[in-house]
Amino acid sequence: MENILEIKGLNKAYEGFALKDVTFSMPRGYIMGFVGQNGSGKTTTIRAILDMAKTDSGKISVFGMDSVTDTIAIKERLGVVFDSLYLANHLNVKQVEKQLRPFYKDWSSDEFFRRIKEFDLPDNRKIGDFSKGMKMKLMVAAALSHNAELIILDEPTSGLDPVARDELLDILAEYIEDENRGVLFSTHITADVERIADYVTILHNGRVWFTGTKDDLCESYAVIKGAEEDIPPALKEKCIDFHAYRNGFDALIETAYLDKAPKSLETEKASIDEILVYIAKEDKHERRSENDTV
Amino acid sequence: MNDVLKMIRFDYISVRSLTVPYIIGFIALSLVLALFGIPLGAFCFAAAAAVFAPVQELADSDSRKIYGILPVGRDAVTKAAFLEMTVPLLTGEMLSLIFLAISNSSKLYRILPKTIEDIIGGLFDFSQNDSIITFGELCIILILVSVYLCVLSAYLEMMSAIQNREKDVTNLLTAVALTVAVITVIAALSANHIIPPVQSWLIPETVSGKWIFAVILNVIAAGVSVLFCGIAVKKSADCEL
Repeated sequence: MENILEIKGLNKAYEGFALKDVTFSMPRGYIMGFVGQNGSGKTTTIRAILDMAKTDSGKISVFGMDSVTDTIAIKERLGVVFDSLYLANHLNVKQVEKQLRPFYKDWSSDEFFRRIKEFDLPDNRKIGDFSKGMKMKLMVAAALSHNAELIILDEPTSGLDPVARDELLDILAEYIEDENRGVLFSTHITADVERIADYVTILHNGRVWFTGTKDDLCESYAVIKGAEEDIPPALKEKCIDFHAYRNGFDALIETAYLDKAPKSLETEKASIDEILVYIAKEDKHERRSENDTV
Repeated sequence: MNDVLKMIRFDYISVRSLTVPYIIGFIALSLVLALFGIPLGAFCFAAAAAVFAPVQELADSDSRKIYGILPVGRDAVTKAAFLEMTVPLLTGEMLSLIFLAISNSSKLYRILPKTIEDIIGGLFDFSQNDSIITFGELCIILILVSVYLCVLSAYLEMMSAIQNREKDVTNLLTAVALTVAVITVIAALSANHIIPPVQSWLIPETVSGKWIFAVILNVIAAGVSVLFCGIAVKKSADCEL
């Protein structure tokens, strides 16, 4: 299976934050949810893919081309939707089309205006007056009008109402029907990932915590619950964010360890949301105990 | 279309409705006033330089991200920014000189009522003997100001490209303060007869001398802009968007 995007050993340090050895790949024809808490490094990774952030080390390939040396050729075939438009607010859709048209060899004005009509966007209103959902649709229309093979979206659904979110996800699902394309979208709204992503990459504290298919992720982790005295110490060590309450405990655990779990303990499939919460909480508890030790 | 031209077109569409109608209005008004001997058009260089001025406003730290999304090299973005600044300024300078020449030669103000005719004649007729400045000197001063603005803007654009616009205000204030200091020192030295009067050594006496001086000044301005642009292209390649 050909990879449309490959990131190997990406490192990038800022003051107080670093991407550490970020490695993942995304096959052509699929949607990948790029998940993590705010500040986990999702946007920095996307900026590195677009050569907007300079990397300290590592290699990024898009369509098999180097993201630094072939950045123009890559962007010609790439659609990008950020959480903001970055276009002059007083322009209307027609003026935006005029602005963007010369940059793309495969630009189709007919396709652009067809999409604008399909997305119910007014072509004579200032884009600054558009709602966030309308702005997202405008950028998606632009991406579809130059026949982008890969669309990268940074937090596209945050701040959108449920109807606008649903519409956007439908558009992405329709876009991916052509199996030569790909979508990478970063989000912290895991319900969107659960709904349309085929692959998931979880970024935590600048590191890749998981990358693979959504099914693998959901099958690999489970939430374990029960009385604290029932869990063997060896299994407790394998738990992620073991949290004891007065009446028992709960924790996240890799399903591979479940065969060692006594039958008195309850297990249930972990959702992506739960996985994210457990890894975030464990990190918080670890930091707290490190501070207590100091 | 060349990448630099694409960027200029992109920026022009962004600012067109904000500036162009007003600048065309100013030029039309300048022409009418020039025919009546009023040299408002001498400020055309400043008006023309304002064509792309809102780009700086629109291109705040976040808006510059659009340049990272578009399939265009960072060098094309930087070169376009320099051209958007220097070309209108130097074109406007030519317009200023043309309007200055029209206002100097056209005497239509003489058809106006006597009081207004006297005021305009007294203020703007450089052929009068008691005029404190000659027409040629005025042209050279205008060129000097225009060239200074060109170099100053090129310097500020270079610093912006290198420092991601974080220190724009500081750089502007530093450059202006330095200029004011130099002018003050020269004026003080000249007023105290330590150096000869500025007009005598800065502005050539002959018409041909003035022409050559004007051309040299503009070539220097263009050269400095190209140099600053080259530095900006080199340095901004490593900057983040």
